[in-house]
Amino acid sequence: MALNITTLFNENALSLAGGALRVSPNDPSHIRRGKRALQFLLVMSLLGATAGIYVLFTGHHALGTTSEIPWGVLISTYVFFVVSSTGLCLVSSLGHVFGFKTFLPIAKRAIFFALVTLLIGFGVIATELERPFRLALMAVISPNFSAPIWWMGALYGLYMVLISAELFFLIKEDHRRARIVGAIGVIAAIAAHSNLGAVFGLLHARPFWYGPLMPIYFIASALVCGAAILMLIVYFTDYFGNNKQLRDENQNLLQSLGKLLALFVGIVIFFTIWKIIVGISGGHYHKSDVMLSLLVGKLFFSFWGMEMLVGLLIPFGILMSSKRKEPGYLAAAAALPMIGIFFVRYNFVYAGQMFSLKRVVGKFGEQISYSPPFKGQSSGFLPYTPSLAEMGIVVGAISAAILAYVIGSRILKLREEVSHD
Amino acid sequence: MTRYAMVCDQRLCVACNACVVACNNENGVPEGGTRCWTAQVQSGKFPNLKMETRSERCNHGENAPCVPACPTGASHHSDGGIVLVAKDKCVGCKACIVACPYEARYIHPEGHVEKCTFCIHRVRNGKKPACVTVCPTDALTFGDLDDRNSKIVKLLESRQSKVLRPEEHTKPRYLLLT
Repeated sequence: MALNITTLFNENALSLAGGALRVSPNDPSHIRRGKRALQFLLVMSLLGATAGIYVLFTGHHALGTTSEIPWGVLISTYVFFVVSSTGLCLVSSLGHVFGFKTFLPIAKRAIFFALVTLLIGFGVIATELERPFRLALMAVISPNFSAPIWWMGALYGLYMVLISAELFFLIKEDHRRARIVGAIGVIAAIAAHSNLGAVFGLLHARPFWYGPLMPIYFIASALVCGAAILMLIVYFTDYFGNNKQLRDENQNLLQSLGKLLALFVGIVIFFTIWKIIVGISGGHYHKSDVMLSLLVGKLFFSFWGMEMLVGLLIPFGILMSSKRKEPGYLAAAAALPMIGIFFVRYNFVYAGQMFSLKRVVGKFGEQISYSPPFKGQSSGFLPYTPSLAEMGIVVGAISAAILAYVIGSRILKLREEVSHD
Repeated sequence: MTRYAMVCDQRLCVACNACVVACNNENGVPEGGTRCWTAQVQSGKFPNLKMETRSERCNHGENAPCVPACPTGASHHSDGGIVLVAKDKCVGCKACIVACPYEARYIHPEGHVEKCTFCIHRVRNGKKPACVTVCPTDALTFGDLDDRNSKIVKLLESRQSKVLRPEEHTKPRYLLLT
């Protein structure tokens, strides 16, 4: 069933989008619930957009971040979105780039959602920057090639062009071109995302972030997101669809993705264990203090509860148990890491800044007092709570991503694809 | 070549904060921002106590980590190695703030990052930085490291000095006489 890109411009597009949202009395009850959920997401997206515009106009004051904690939840949410985008690109490439037939049916949906999450990620970082429009200009006329952030922008820009072309060729069913562009896209995805790791990993002044581990860790967590999101997409396509043949195929695909997810979650657990051991084994007091805050301190719940239990251990348990073949359990095992990874990002971004660098902890127990006093100069601890506007943007961005996917995949007819032999 | 630097004599500094007030006045530092501050470090156990008193600011390192972190080149080395932020190039990504081991930077309400400039607008006119001018004990000395006859070179040759956070390898141009 060849699809044409002109579908996009059909006058049908709007009515298709409307159809996804309009509750009709003939719909079965689960479809009606789904549509109500989408209406709710639309409201949340609009609220998020309002918060975003408010922040763009009022600037830094609308955010909970300070000169001491300059990067907050918007940075971690941006990372969360581009992690998802990279993961989707990498995991889906197994099918249409590397030729594993099982994963072929997911290609279009994955690349489309990769594009959606990337664009929403860009939107989130734009609200975080003090002057987002200037960045677009200055990155071109005054680039600094030694800055990881410049490379991050350039590589993600390239990646965006490549996955857009990939989606175009996939929709046109031009699999040869899609494969070539896809292969370059995979390289760009790895380059861009590991570079995002380097944005943190190259900061020598921040011992919790510094080191060559960061770029690798970022790629590993991207794979978790990619596999988990694809499982959710497959599961919900199934749930809201009523095609028997599609259902059997999807079951198989879901189980294969589940195996991959188990592997990726296992890798991230491995990384996390070593991060803990290196962190608490001394070396740098700043690093061990941050690690102790995660393990037994202020970030205890966020780390053990959300990051470890919800994000990694419970899903890993489900995926290794006898329930690993049941779609409902697989969907749960995919949803939990997504919640967990959101907290992984938040913990990661905040923890790197939670202790003031101005604090002196010397061999002889020096005490230092500053005038004018600095925040957190006695304990070194710097508090951060996201502002209402920041939380609005986060909720809006997540809602908008799901909404854009559901409506977009309907307009582009991505859902109806079956595997090509 | 000119290599501007500043030293603070910890034996002379009394942490009176005149430098802080002068800096805030001279540079119109907004509320919440700090370009210059004083520090009192106490260490030891009674009766063997030690106290260091000094003024602190951006260390204007030759290897300042803010410069390579800046995506647009807004953070740069200017005349004589002074580290500056070009206001019109700054996009407010705050990477330099995170990269700075001295936490010497802040976000200006207008949306760009600011920091100590060694009062380059005064230095270019042959004047000393504001903090140096007002220091009542003459603890602060500003000068050119390449000028063999300057007071700063003589001080650094005759006295022991140290830098803040040497483990960061920033090669500071702000030194402390001990």
